[in-house]
Amino acid sequence: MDKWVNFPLFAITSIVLWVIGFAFISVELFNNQKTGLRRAGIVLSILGSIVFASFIVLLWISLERPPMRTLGETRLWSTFFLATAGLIVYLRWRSFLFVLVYGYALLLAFVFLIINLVHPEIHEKALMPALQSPWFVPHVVVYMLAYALLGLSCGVGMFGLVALTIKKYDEKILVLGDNMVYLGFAMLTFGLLFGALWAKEAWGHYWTWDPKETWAFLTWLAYLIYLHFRYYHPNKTKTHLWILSISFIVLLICWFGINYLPSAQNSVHVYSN
Amino acid sequence: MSTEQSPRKALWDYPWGYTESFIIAAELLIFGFIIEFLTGGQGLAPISMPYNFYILAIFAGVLIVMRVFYSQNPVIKWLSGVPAAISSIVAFGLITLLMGFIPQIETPSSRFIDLIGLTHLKNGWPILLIQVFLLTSLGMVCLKRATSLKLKNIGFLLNHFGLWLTLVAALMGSGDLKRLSINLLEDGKSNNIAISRSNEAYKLPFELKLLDFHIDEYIPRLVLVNPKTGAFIQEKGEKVITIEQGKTYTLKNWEVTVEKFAPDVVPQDSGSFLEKEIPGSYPAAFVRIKNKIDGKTTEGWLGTGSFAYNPTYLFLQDDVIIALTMPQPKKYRSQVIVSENNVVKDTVTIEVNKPFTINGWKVYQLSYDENKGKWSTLSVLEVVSDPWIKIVYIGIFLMLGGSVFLFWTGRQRIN
Ligand code: HEM
Repeated sequence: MDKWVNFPLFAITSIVLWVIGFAFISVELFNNQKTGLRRAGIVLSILGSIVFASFIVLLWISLERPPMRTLGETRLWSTFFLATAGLIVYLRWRSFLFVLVYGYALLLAFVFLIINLVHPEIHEKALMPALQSPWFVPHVVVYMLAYALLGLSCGVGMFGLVALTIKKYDEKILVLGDNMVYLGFAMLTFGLLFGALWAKEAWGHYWTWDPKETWAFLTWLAYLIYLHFRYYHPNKTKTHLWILSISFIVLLICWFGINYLPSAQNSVHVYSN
Repeated sequence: MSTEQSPRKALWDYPWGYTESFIIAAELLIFGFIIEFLTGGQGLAPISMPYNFYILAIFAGVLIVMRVFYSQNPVIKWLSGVPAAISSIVAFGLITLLMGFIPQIETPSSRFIDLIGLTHLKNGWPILLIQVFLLTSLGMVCLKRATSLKLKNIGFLLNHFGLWLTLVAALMGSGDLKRLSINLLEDGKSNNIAISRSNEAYKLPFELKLLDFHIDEYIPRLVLVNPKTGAFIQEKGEKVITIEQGKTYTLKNWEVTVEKFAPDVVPQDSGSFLEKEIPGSYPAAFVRIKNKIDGKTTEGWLGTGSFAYNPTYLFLQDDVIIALTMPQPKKYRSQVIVSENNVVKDTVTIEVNKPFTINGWKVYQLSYDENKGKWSTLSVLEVVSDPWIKIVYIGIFLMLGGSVFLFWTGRQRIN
């Protein structure tokens, strides 16, 4: 039997659980005390993930294969992964900024979920053959997470620079930035490596120095430098803040800027026509 | 760049810090460009089996000997430290930055930027020297940490050794990498001659015969075009219309009703269309169009045309025509019979993103005769052999593990 007919039931139950859970958790933004409400929020969020996971399991059983073949199926995993990883990251660090990170992850999760609800065939309609792959969604999802986290870290960096000039700097600022970069960099590495594995399946080689790859690698190197320099010279605050702010420019070039570079005219990654 | 040294230390006194590291990295870069120029700017011919294997064994051996027997030597200490690491990463970054701005080409000519290697940086001398520097530094760091396998060091080694393996295997493996293309026609003949990018023929250890090449196409889109410039008349962000029989769409001042959609037609001499699927047939739609301003209606056929026939479109105004776009390929695949020494082994379907593997070779769907579109009888496949790929994969999986580690442990307390 086609298990997808049950999807709206599971999806809407999960959404409701996640949204209420998140609402309870975000009370922390306004109230620092550990309230029972927050604990209830965490439980509801976990329940949301469990409900969603059960749908994936049922689908798996009914298809008699892992549901990872079509784009719709990969979107299921992304929804689950985003909502769950967002919660785990929040539980791991518990700082108020990670409430926002969790919120962002949930928002992305909902995008994928709602696409599956109302427009399941959307991408099947216009994707060029090279993009029709189970790698597509995970590759894009981890990059979106990475970009969001590193974008936040850039904000933190610029905030720190301002704080430094007006002599209001506090060591907590860079600690926050570091947290963002460690997570963001892990995601960036995932994205890069998923991309390499996918490229081998789609284009025959895992690395061809295509302009998009080149800039993705540069972005990765910029944050790599930050990690090492920060770790071994913890007191060079100003340099750290600058690297943090400037690395994001490299990322932005990789993300959009490359469409305007002369070196990128033949890129296999520029999809506009 | 700031340094960690006390002001009294003269340049090149040990221990070396950032200044020395960056000078060395810069010298390697400049040296690389000079060698490139002196050797005619042709880049490096990659080294293949078994020599790349010997070189790797010697390189790894030298690293181990240096680490085990000379760990107190100040140069070895420097190589295992952070300034050397950062300068080599920055230098690698610089070359990558040049690659990111200067268009890279396959066959360099004799312009100055070709001669010093700026247009083929990925296989030139500068990147090789910097990679050796980086791999030495990274290798020494791994060895330094490998001596105590505490949990913290495991995350460290997954990342650093994983990257080292991937880079080394990619560098050494490039000499054994074969990426060839092979043309197959729907003419019933087997082929085993593939062609490299520099147009050399290569005999494959198996034969391929094309049974069928097939393209699924997307439904064409309905567009307004300026006939003088050929440009689409489209507002930014406007929805793309894929036509569907019976639907009505609004484009600017016109209401367009698709009375009939036919996936395959051929034009007749009489000006009408015959629905028939034969080579050269193409999708067409019969539309009724109403001008929303003056209420006038027109009707007629729109057709995408094909390699054999011209497209059909309608004039709405002197400078506006309505037309169908050429359909985009959705999927294309080749059904191929694979044989070895004329003994049939298998019949397989090869599709983009779904390569087929035989004896260490991977066979990919690459392209077809784009001019003929779905009527192409030619299928171009790519055959790839990369014996080092397994090591690259091991390195990649180690790094993925390292990333999970990084994700979980996050930022530890810093020093
Ligand atoms: C996958 C990429 C990389 C990641 C995620 C990474 C991450 C890290 C981290 C987190 C540390 C400090 C943590 C600790 O001490 O446990 C570190 C240290 C270090 N890294 Fe990396 N790194 C990477 C690539 C590189 C590269 C390419 C080099 C050199 C070319 C390098 C050289 C070093 C050095 C020299 C240290 C100090 C080691 C020591 O003092 O024992 N790393 N790295």
